[in-house]
Amino acid sequence: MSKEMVIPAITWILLTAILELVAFLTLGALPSQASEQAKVIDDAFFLLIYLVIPVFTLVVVFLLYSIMKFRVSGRPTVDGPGLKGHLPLTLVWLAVTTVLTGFVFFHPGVTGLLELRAEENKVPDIVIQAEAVRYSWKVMYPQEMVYSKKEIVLPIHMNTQFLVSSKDVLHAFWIPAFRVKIDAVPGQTTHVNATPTKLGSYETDTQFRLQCAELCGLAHSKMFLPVTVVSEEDYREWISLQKPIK
Amino acid sequence: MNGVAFLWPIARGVVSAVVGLLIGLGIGTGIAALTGNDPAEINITFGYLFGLIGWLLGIGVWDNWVREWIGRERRSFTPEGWRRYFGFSLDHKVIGVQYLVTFVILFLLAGIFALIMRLELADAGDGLIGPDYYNTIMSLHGIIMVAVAVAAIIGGFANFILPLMIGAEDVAFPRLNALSFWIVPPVAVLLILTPLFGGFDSGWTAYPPLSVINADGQLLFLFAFLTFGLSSILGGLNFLTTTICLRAPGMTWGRLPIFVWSVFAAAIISATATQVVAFGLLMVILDRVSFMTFFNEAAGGKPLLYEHVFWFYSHPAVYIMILPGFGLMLEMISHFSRKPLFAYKWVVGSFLFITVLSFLVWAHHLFTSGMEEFLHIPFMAITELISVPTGVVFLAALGTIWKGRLWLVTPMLFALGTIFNFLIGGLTGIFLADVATDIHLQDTYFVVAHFHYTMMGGEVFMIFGAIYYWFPKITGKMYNETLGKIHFTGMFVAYNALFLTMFYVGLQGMNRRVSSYPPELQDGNVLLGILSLILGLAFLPFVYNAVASWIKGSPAPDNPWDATTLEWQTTSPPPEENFPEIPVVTGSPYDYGVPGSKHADVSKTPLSTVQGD
Repeated sequence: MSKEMVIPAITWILLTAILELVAFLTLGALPSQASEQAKVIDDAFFLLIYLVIPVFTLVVVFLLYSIMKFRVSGRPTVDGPGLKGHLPLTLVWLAVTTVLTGFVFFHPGVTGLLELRAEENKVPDIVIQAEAVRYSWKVMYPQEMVYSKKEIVLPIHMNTQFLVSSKDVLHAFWIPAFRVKIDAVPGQTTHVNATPTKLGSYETDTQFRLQCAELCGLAHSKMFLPVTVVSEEDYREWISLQKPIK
Repeated sequence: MNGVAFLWPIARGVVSAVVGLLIGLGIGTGIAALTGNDPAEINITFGYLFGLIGWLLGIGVWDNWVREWIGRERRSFTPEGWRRYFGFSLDHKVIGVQYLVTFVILFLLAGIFALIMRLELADAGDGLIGPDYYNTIMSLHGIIMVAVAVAAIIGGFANFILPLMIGAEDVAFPRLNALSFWIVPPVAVLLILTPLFGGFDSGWTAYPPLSVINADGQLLFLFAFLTFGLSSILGGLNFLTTTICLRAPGMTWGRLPIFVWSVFAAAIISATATQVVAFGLLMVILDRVSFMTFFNEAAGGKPLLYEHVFWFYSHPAVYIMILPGFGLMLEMISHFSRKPLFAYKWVVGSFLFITVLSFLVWAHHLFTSGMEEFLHIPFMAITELISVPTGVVFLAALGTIWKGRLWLVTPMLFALGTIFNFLIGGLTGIFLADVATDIHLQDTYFVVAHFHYTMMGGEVFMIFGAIYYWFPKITGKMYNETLGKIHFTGMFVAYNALFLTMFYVGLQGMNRRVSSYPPELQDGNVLLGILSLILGLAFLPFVYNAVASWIKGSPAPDNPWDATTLEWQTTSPPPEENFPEIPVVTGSPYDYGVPGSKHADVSKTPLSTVQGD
């Protein structure tokens, strides 16, 4: 390693350590994580943050160092060294980026996806049909034969499968607190699972909302339904008050 | 030719467009009466198609093609000086300026649309313009900016600079080149008219079924996109052919400037992928105006089909935008570091590898669309694979500035800023290629911030860098360096503050394409509004600098940057034939500091005949 590399290399290590620490301390500031799926997705997100920081700092440090060290004031009068490339460095760079990409693909890429699929492949405790029509949601509880157009209430710790459909245009089913999303496609029933892990409601935390996330027209912004996660007891009570499906 | 006579081709184009429109309306009314369909959309369809044909015949197709077909001489109409920019000029340098000025104006217009969006979003509820206008303005901002990103470099800089760089007199198909520019004004007119036809509320992506059932403005959008696609295909073919056939003696593939390589790669995409989205748009049009039901599930159609077809073009289109951005960045970094481009051949290989991969990643836009789940893992893998060739571009940039003699003029600042911007754009892309994190982030402001980091941070920054870089060559005048640096500093700082904040707001649960949102996101959105206003103001020094310097800047020398490539070895601006004699290329374009190496022998004999003005 040439002498000029020492300062940027040390700076890189220091800056990486600082940013990793900042990331570690602030990542908890993400909005409410209220389902098992949210934990898988957030863990993947955090891991990717930790992994991209050294790449980010490497480029930034060498960029800034070069600008400070190699700038000339005014028009350059002599050319730089006629260095056209460096095969070993290029091969090392390719190897490192390939290995990093491969790593990220397997973990959290494939592993995260398989974890989510494993949840989906379990027999769900509760099945809910969410039907979108511009600009409202109708949620049906086929096991209980009731439905609601005002809110969606879920018992905590139950593996819930949402069967999503649309009667007109594309919509998307998204509950930010659960981190899950799937489009509602006319003529198709899509599905997504979420197992709530935290009590909460839209009144105190707007992350608890079923938001349409695919542009569907004029009132797309307002196409959302409050989500409430309650105890099983409260859930039973709420179910008993809902309108029956005819 | 003085006075207003130079406006003759445009006037004739407008008159024959009106004639065509009336003929089309007549046919449309007849067909509507016969079929009993709603006449509005049938009239728009036939009126536009015949109006477009009329416009093109009037502006230059009659003079340049049809007269030949009926056995007469081609007729050209060539006013001099600034007036030539208003006609069907066949000179690639005139067409390049026509493209550049048109798309810079469209860029500023779509930027104003962005500010209107931010004004609406300053309030969590319904604000200034309400959801209806918001959807149209948001959709217009999207499609106009996409058009700018697709056409400003290939239509503008590739047109003006690429033939010069390879030592050619012009492009391979000058008439087609002029045609591909004059197809653009009808596109702009259609888009600007959409609000009069009820607007369109489906974004620039125009997903059916929404785009089949909404207001008539949608049909104008569909025709605008389709027409623009035609222009893009013709441009792509032209630059492929030009690069293959018109290189000067000695300009081997291994001596092509990296900008030419990047345009070549982008032209492959635009000449081969655009047809696919055209079919998608055509299917939506047919669903609207005829009895087709491609996307009507009740009649056996499939809405998801469109998403695949759309992104099969629109993801590669991202590389029509970003590859020339990379090319410009590396081009300037080499010249302003006074060093050879590091790992040139690896960069070329990477560009071509990216071109191939760009066709194989489209479904990463569809992870939450309800498509077959077995597609998730392969599309995640191929998408993430793109980071390997992209990494080579970063290696080349860093390797070139290392131990260079960095000359920090405005274009170099833009190139260095682009390294930083695209670094963030690329790294945040990993979060969207990862299926698990994308399930949450899809359709949030995180995505919006990400693609602004790639397309604006990677490409639009380089469009402005290239404007400064080639301003002396194109206009023959020097721009004001201080104003240029003020523009760069303001734009770089405001842009990064704005879009870094946007990542954060996205993570807080702000979904995209909404005009109202939960109240606790209001502070973040107000901050975004203030930052976008500052970003908008940062363009004022640019506008003043460009206009004032063009009118009364000091004359530019032929080669103000002491750069090696061929466009700098002729006068500023270049004469009509570009070089007194066809140059002979003898070496690499970037051999700074390589003893005895010379890019080309260029005769300095001044032209005795025509000189540029």
